[in-house]
Amino acid sequence: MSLPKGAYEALEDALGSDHVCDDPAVTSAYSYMWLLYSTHAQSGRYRPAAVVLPGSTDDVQAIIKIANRYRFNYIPVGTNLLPPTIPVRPDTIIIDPKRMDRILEIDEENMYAVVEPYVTYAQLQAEVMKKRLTITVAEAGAQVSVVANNMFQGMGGTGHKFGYNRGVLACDWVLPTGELLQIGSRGNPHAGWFWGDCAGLNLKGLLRADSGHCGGLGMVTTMAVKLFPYPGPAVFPVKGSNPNFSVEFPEDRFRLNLIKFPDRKNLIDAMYEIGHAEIAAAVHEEPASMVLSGASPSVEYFWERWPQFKQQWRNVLSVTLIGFSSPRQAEYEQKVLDAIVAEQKGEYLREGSELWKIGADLLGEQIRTGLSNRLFRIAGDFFVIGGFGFDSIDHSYRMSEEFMWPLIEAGQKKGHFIEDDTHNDWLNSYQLGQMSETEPLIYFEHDLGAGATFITSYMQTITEAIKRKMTPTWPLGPMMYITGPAMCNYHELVLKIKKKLDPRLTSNPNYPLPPEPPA
Amino acid sequence: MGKQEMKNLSLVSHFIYNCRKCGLCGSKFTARVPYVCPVKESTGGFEHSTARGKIILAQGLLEGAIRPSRELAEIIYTCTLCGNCQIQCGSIDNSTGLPLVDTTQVIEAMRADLLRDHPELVDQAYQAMFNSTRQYDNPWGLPRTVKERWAKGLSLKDVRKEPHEVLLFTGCTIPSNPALGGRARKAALILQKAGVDFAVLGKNEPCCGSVQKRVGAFDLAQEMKEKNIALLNSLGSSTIITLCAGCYHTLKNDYQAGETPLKPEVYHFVEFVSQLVKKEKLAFTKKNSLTVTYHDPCHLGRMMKVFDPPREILKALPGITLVERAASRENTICCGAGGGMRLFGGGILAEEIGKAAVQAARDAGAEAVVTACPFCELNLDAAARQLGFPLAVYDITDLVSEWSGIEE
Repeated sequence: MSLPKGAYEALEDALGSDHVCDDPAVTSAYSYMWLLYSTHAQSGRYRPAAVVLPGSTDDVQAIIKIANRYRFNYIPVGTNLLPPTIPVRPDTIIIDPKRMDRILEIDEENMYAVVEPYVTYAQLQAEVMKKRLTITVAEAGAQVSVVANNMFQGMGGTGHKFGYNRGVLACDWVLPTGELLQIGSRGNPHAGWFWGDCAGLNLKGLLRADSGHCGGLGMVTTMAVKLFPYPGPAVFPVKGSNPNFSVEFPEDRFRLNLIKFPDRKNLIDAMYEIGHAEIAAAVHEEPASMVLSGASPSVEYFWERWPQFKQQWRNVLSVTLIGFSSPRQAEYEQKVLDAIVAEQKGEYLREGSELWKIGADLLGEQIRTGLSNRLFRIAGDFFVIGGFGFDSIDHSYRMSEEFMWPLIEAGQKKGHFIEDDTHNDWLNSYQLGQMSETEPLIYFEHDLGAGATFITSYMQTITEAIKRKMTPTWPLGPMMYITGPAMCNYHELVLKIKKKLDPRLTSNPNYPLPPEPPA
Repeated sequence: MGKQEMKNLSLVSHFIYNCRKCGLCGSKFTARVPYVCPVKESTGGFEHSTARGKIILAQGLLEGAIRPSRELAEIIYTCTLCGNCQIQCGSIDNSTGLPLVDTTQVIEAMRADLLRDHPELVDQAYQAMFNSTRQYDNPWGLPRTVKERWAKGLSLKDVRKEPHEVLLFTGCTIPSNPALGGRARKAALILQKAGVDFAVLGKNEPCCGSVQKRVGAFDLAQEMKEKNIALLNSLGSSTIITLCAGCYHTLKNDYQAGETPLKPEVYHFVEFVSQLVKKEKLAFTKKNSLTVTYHDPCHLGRMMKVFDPPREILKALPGITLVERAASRENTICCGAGGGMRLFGGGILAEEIGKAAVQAARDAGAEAVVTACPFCELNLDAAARQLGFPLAVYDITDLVSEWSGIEE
């Protein structure tokens, strides 16, 4: 795997020899994927030709201009958890922003922070909590990049209150040609970082649309992200260490409610009512397998408890109330929630009970850790059956009940998936119930048969979701050629954007979609 | 190296495949831990400078996807083996309480395989150290007699000839390094003052094999261990006190494994002195005002969980104010000297890493850093000098000696 003649020297000239390397001993550390078997099998197969460590926007521009001049590819990564950042072509370099790890500004009054690409959620949240502010942390975990995650998902535990992918304000964006584009208020002279839109044409939609471009449209080198009020302690009140931790937030301001409903329909209706009432910071249906996995210190612990737990933990909704303005807000919201729960025939899990203790960590997950590595505890990995259904709560629910769970049951009959008849998903309310996302979490056997069942089910779900006019999962790369034709041929517009902004196809060439449909 | 050559790495492959590559080891950040990996913080930042990157390289080596090279050797040896990545990973095997991903064992195994099959790729400083060990029974190439010179005039018992309860095991570094200020002598005087019945091996004291094992000379370390256990078990000591954290970890932990374990109880000096203080066998007649912070050596603290005894000692010293750095106890950021790093590349990176530990002490308001390991002390002192501000670095023995009014 090598770069065109002269390219490596050009990169060294631009960045300094300490920040460029093509030695296999270095590049091999970038050739992995965490999904499925990839962690076991792919070492060395997807090794980049070189790795570069830029220290500034100027460095990134230089790298990208060199890539255009010498016609090799590059993939900008964050903390490197996303599968599409695997280099599949031999003349691909990885742009690793580890040197760009500064929080440049925290504006308390206007509630935003300006960060470089290697600033993690943990790092940012630790600093802003001192100022009684917070940010929605990604479910992948607080160890991931704020910029990279906002380019892809921008969703997390507190998305019910703080929104889904609403956090991106102004950005400095190096285009695939190496030009610097400043969007949002950065595009207006002296306007700073505070606003994601701007006077004139708003290009923020171009930056990421629904699911981002996975490094296929250049690299964002600085991003302003929205912060939100946080009435908690200046230091995250944790005991222990992820994955075994507990949190102690002041109870007059932070209340985790775990509510069991007689059936899923009541749970869904409660989610809607909570949104209508405009209360709560986090609202999630919590599936039994996910909750018990997170709480299990060992695989043995999980399997000892699973048969009984999956009977006990059904149709459980977690609702976290935060008294942002005062304890009275928390009290008020609790009263409203109590009324909704009564109406929907729900029953609170008693604080301190066995079931409560297993679910109590959810508060810490929602505010800080995300689901993160706790999901991996019992099987080493996990996945979702597909078709997340970004749409209304009801749409997500119907997709889950009518289509996904029959597929799951078919897989269970073959012995490929964990035995789970709860019909509960990780179903989330975002933006006060105005949109939703559902992920039927599946733990599966690690063999080729189960893998095939899983992939087949996944593709079937995508196809079905398209028929129902729902956004299936995050349509990345070649998947756009499946989803596009069902949705106004949006993929054709995306392709035009790609060709216009990246005429030499140097920026992760198969993203946001490949130039041709796959064979 | 083909799969058949990965003898040591194959034995720890389960750690490699337990790793989910989530990246917490590189990017975890809490109020207790400003960062996880001291090497990552002090180097360019390529992925291999993190535990995750090293695990991926180990997987590549094991699967034959990467071939050994000088660059790879340099990467494998650029690690202090502090184990902070394992603590911050947090994933534990519930049946044993041990980490699911023991990065230090993986790295030591890679070093061992590299040394065995491709010694030409390994820094020559290590080869010199192995030769010294074989020739002089210490890694520093000094004559054996340095281990008895420090005791001149003290009339200490010879452990092989006289009945005794306790063996004072000084280790190789303290007696041989003049910069360590007569530490062994002070320790002996403290024990004498407390009326402890102890003896020493003097020039017959062997090297424990800790440094050799950490840099991958497994066969040599094993030889040393077997020989040493036979010797130490034959002396009739009920207790062994070590002055060095590395010796402590090795004798207390490594020497307990296997068919013939070490019999005497092993304590670090701070544990023993802490008990002496509680039993009022030591009186502190002096009072001096000094604000100190305690640096937990990785081999004593994080790995062996000895956190409280040194703090109890410091709190018992009149006039001492103990402040804690932001990252302390099991979250302590390594001084930089571990894993053979002071030998590696002239120790430049080790000192660079140490600067953060010293700066953290200053940020905590300390006038001095106190530790309980000669490697930590030497490296922190070198780092403090580089930073150019006056921050004294002491071993806890220095303070106990001075506060007890012991004249050398």
